[in-house]
Amino acid sequence: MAPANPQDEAPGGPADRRRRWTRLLIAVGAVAVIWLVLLPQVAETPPVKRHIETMQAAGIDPSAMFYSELEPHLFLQPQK
Amino acid sequence: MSDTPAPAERRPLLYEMRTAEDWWAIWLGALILAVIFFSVQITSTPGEAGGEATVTAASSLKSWIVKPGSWTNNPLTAFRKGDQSLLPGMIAIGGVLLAIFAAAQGIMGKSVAGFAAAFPVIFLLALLAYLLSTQTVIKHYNLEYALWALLVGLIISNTIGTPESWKPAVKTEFYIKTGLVLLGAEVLLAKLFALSVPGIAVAWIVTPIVLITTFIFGQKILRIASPSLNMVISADMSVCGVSAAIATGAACRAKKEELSLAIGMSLTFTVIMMVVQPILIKLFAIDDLVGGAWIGGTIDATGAVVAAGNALGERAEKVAVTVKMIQNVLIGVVAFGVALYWVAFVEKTKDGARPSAMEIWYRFPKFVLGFVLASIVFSSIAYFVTAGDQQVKATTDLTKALRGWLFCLAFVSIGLETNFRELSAYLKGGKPLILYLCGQTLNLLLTFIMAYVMFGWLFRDYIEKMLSGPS
Repeated sequence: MAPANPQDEAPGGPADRRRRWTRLLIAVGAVAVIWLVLLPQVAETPPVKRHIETMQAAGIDPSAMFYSELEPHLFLQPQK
Repeated sequence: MSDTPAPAERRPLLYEMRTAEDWWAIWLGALILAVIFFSVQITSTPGEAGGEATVTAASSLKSWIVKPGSWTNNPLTAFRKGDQSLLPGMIAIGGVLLAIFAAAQGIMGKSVAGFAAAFPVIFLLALLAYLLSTQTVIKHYNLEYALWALLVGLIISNTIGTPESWKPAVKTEFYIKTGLVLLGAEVLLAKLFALSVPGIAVAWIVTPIVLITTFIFGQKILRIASPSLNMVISADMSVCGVSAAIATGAACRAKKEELSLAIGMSLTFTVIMMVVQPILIKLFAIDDLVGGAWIGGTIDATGAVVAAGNALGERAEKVAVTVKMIQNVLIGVVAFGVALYWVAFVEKTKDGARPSAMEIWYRFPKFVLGFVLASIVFSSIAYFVTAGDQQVKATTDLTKALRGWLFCLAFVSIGLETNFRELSAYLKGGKPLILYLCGQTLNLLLTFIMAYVMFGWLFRDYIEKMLSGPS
């Protein structure tokens, strides 16, 4: 077997670039599988489905970062 | 986030105002707030004289300032809301942000062409992060966009590396500071009194005690090497999660890896507490009002507080959400206090001497002034102007979407600048995790005692009366 060209293996060389792009493709593939295959299935499992339906029925956005992202009906109103 | 505290260079104020990102965050934030508030003014319908309830406030920009919607199986559905396509709005947002930030870059004397060429890529990555966060399961378990924006950036920087051509638009601090000025308009001070004494006691007495105690604990007992990491963890755990981490992180010039770590821990424990805390409250038959106040005062993320409160019933949910809202308002005071403390007491140790008042002014992160000023101006409009509360709500309904895009751009930028190896260095010895666990335990204990005293005993009848009144 011919020895690997040291320039190919060096950082930034063709082999290194190939390795980096392969890692990116693997990571992107993993994200795609989780978001497009696994999570849609998880959404259909009874406890998760129940949780999502309860939140939607109550008009709750559980991803809110600040109170201003929530609907006014969720707050206790101060007495006049 | 900066890697090293900015040196206190003494340049003329006018020069600073024209060239410093801190000031430009204020100018851009003010411009966005003014344009949107003006659009609300010209499209609002005034009511009868004295009939403030009939005033309707809206903005013609509403259909243009959007973010991706929720989706379950097909991400393309996130680009539609009913019959309306959200894509033109997203393109418009990208275009407007590109234009104003490029103009700022130009005036600051930086490369406009480089920024303009790179910004669309960073914006597309932010869009991808938003899409990941709006998947139904992710969204309903409070795994906020900040986490996925970090992930998107980290994947690129740790595989192929962040291309040099993208770097002119990787402007973490600039996006965060501008977003924080917009957030200031949402910090309405009158909300502080929504629950009178009991709300203030849980949110404004316990929270600062936990914040200060955990900071001292981290510095004196755990001896965490970085005070800024210590402060960001203390703030996100005791105040209100990601938003508090962003505000205090910027105020104390925390490193980007420190902010990533604090947010990652906060979101992980938020998901656990959101599920476990209501179960424990039911298991130990804790009163619903006490349980609601306990949840509101302890769960980091605002959205997760609603979800956990809802599991206990409507009364607990309302108390929990309102306590959290009061705690949210604390963010302005915390950011200002931390910024002042940092320039006066923490950074001074590098020089060995206590800085003078002028030195404190030079070092003070100026964007905090914009954040606080936006809060004061919009609080005043909401409180003193007829129908001002509706006009402010119509304004912040739009600015919060832009603020979300800016934070998302910031977290993508953090990911693009972060190396996994740098991040793992902060986890050595598990000190950040110990700090979070100890601090959250103290938070749970003190908040429970205060919630019991205020909501279960002293002000029980008052809260019951509020709950039975019209809401």
